[in-house]
Amino acid sequence: MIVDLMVHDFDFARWLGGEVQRIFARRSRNDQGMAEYAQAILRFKSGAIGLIEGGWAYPAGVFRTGFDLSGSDGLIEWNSDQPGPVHVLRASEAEDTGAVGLPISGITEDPYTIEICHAYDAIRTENPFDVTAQDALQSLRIALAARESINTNQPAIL
Amino acid sequence: MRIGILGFDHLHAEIYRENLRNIPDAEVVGFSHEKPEEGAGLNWYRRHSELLAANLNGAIICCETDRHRELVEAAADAGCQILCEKPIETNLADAKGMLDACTKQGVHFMTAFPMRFASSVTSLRAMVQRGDFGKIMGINGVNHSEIPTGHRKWFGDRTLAGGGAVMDHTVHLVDLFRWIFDVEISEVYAEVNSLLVAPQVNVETAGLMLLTFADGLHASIDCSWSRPTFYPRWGHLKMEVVGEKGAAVMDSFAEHLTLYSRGAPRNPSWVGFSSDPNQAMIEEFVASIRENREPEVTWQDGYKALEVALAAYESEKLRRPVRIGSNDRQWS
Repeated sequence: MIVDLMVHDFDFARWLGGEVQRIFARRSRNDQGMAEYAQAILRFKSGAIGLIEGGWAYPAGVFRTGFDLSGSDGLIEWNSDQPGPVHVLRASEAEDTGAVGLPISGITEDPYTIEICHAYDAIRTENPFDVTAQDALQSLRIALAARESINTNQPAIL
Repeated sequence: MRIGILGFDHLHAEIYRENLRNIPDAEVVGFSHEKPEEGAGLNWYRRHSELLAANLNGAIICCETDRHRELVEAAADAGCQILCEKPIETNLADAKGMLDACTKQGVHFMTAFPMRFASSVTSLRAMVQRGDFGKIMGINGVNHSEIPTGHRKWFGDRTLAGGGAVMDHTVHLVDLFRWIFDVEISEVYAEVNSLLVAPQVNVETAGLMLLTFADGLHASIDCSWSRPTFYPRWGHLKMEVVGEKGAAVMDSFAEHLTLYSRGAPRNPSWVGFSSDPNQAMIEEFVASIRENREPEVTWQDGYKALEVALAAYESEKLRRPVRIGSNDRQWS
């Protein structure tokens, strides 16, 4: 979960806050080992701090994400609980299957489509990718450091 | 019930004054403070001793945190039941001294933790205690606010307040964790910084913590003064509980109107309409005096919360998790 799911948040955090100096993390699993939940505190080289929480623990079909970014001159709050431009109300029929729910957004361009188009254009025009191999490596390093911290119960230094 | 307010340094003193006025058998005798103008409409006493000589049943301690012991001891000697602002003191030795004074005089000590009385918190607690979420996987507690020094400067003074955002907010969330999950905190890891700096502040303005409970459960705390002064409200208190069988997301001040008003101090302002937890807390304090019994929130609750806040500073200094209540360390 930490390397599969939370790695996205580590990448996002590093994209916003720069390189990470150290990380402290804790994790819980249920008795069957299927559900997993973790929290990690990052200390950035800039001195900024960040909390990342993630898990495969919500009821089937629930997907939530959000962020809270505060700085000396301002603040951004956002989370995916906020309603989109279309709110659909309908009578329930048979039990819904447990597919992962994705928010209905007012953004017309699907981010997966943007990503594929960007990769295709970069290859076609021989320009560099916006997301580099270095980005992938650094976010993986943070995720692995989180696992190390969980195992040692000490902060892991990057 | 004759109640006096000792010190008017804390922001909450004005709220308590209003709360007391809503209780028919409570009489606000007055307040003692250096500045007579701050009590607006209350009888002013130049000295705490003069107010304490006015035959009080209860005293609310609202001075700077590092003077709590001095006023608690004076109030206990006068035979008053005590409601003390949080954090109860700046260090454990003075916190213990306050308990000794109350025990000696046979008076009760209530810690001002109003969020226990919020309906969002009591309903979340009922769900947890019924086992609605199955095995709990993780908890996140958030208490963000603006930097309080714009209203009261001493909140930014390490000596007077004992610390900054960590001292100010951690104690609320720790108390809620202990009460909702009925377990003590055993280990604390913290990262703090002062990047969100206002002038004249020598304390931390942001803090993140990971706690381990005695039963192995993990909880995070974000206790930062990270809402700007132009935010539509003072801040918020939120909690998320993630369990094997379900999750709950609590935002205690979610119910609000958005007010746009010419000349308002905040524009727009979020005006809450949930029941006021401060009112319920003050009613419990007055009821505990009326019924001559221990209040629902005790000295022990205030002490345990202070212990965790102080451990957070220790963890920041040592850069490792710190165990609570271990004998090899003295934070006082």
